[in-house]
Amino acid sequence: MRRVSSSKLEIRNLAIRFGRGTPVRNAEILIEPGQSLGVVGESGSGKSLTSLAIMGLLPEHAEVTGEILWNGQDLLKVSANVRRELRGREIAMIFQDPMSSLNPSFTVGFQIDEVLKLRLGMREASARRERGLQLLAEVGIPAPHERWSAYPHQLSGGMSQRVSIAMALAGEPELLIADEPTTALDVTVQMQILELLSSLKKSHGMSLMFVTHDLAVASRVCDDIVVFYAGRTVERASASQLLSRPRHPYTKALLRARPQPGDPARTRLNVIEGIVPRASEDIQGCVFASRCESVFDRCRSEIPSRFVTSNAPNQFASCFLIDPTGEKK
Amino acid sequence: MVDPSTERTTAQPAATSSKVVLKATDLTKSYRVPGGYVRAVRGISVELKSGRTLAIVGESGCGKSTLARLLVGLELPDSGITTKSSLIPMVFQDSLGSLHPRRRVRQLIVEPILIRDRLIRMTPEIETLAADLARRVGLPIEYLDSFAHELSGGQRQRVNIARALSLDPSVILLDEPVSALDVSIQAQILNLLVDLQNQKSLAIVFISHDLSVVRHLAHDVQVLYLGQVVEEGPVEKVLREPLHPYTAALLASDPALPAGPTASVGEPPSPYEVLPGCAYAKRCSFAESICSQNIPKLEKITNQKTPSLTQADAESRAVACFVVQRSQREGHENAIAPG
Repeated sequence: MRRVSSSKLEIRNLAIRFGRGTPVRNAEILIEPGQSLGVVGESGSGKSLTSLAIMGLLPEHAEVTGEILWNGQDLLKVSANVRRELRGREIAMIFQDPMSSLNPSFTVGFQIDEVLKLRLGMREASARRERGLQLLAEVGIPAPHERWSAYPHQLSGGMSQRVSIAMALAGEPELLIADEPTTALDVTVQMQILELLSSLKKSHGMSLMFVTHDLAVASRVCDDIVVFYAGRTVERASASQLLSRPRHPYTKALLRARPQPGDPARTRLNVIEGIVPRASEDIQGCVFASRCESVFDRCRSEIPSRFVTSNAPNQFASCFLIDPTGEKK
Repeated sequence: MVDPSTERTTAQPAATSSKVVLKATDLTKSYRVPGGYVRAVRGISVELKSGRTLAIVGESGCGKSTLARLLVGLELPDSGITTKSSLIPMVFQDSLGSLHPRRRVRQLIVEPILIRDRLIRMTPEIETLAADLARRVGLPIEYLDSFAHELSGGQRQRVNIARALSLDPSVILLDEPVSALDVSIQAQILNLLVDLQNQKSLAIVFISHDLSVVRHLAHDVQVLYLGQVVEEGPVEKVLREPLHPYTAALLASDPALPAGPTASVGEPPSPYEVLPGCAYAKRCSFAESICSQNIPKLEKITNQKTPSLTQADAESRAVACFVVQRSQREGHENAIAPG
């Protein structure tokens, strides 16, 4: 059992540009030490780019502005060496496709051993092997001794994802970023991985940033959820609040688009009319204004700020409907 | 759906008047692999009436896609008979990969007609038909001149559905048609399928792993495990009061539902495995010694004393599990109900 993470991630006014496109317009994310935050959005909403920006894994031609504060230090200003030191050691990441995040030519054991050697500087091979086997057991791999010398193709999708989680844990990170880690898995295995992540988060005292397109999945693992739309964070609330009482019209529409367990079958689902604005579009007001049912003039000319929605810290919705002082028409 | 042992003539009371458009009996299919066979489909029977949607659910490797290929005729079964009232077109998950990259939407939509009528060029009548089909699936007419790569995922799936409807079939089969789409687009396609079914009493076979979608769209469901149907019946019964432990485990793994106590352990089995008993026994928390010795048959729920099941429900449900079958015979409630 480790101490609880003392590290805090704060992203302010993050924008990511590629040429004329701005796939991330303005992202604000705060992860308190030991907190789990779900980052939810549809494809192209900027959630994965934001996590790559935290890791420093964006391609070189990406123009990144704003601040990514890790314990107060702006990761966008530090040297490549410092970032390399942080990567895997303080902030680790797992990806959607476990098969392609493992090297097919090396055994599972070799790849875990490598992390322990390079990231933790463990010199003794026997100690590394012992720790590696311990990690495999911890992520729920049966017969870790046999798996140690297995190649990735000999593992199922669920098992490979467990191995990549073990590799991420090997560096004893303070923050684990999981980008759609269960999307490629079967539902029964998905639930096992979600439970594993929840329990590891507690036992390792890590913070967790869980990126997914599925609100229901996020609500299973996360304390809070932040919703991305067209490169902006539009709402943040506790997982239960967000599902039961969403405040932003986009979150509301998204929830009504999914069939709910209690609804009568074959009734019409809510359709969000229109399309997501392109990354190259210059938007004057609210990013959702073009598709919003409750849109009014102000939405098209002015960007809504983050209006506080709850007494709990950091909960907001960027919508003029919530503006306590503003007009609603 | 047909029980392999006893032929059944009445299904859901509401649907007795509608005709059977697809019926398959005891299909099996194996593939030769180095060192033996993969038994992908191990005796599955399917019955579908017009105007109804049958969902086939299960994890990867359970034989869903092989069953789909057998039903539409892309593969021939090793044994078993399929009778269908029309050709069954299929819609795939990969909406881009299933459209020819160098044909325009108008040609893509009516390609089956061109092939059937051995035409090389579009005729004015077929042009009109292409526009009609586009309208039916909610695809704006201006997209008729587009190529597949110029469309969004949702629009492409509309093209695929329009193409499937072009020969005016009584059944269409969709294999994970919305899994690759964003939630708001999924809703549009699901609405479209409901509309199409209501307009022409289209029958739909819907293959999916997403229980929320199945609950919404389907009338009946078959739950597959390692090439066999372990439970079947009306959706609102099977997915609310599951009888088979595997169905219960699937539901407990559905993130849209509140956390359940019967979550599944272990991984989906490999189709290479040859097991003497019930395929699910290894992962099942209710397994008894008989479960690893004999293979349970899919049997109708015959017990009439079970309070939660009405007569009609009992007749339309079937389950392949020794533990459940015994407790039903003995007149107990639900063998696997929590608590």
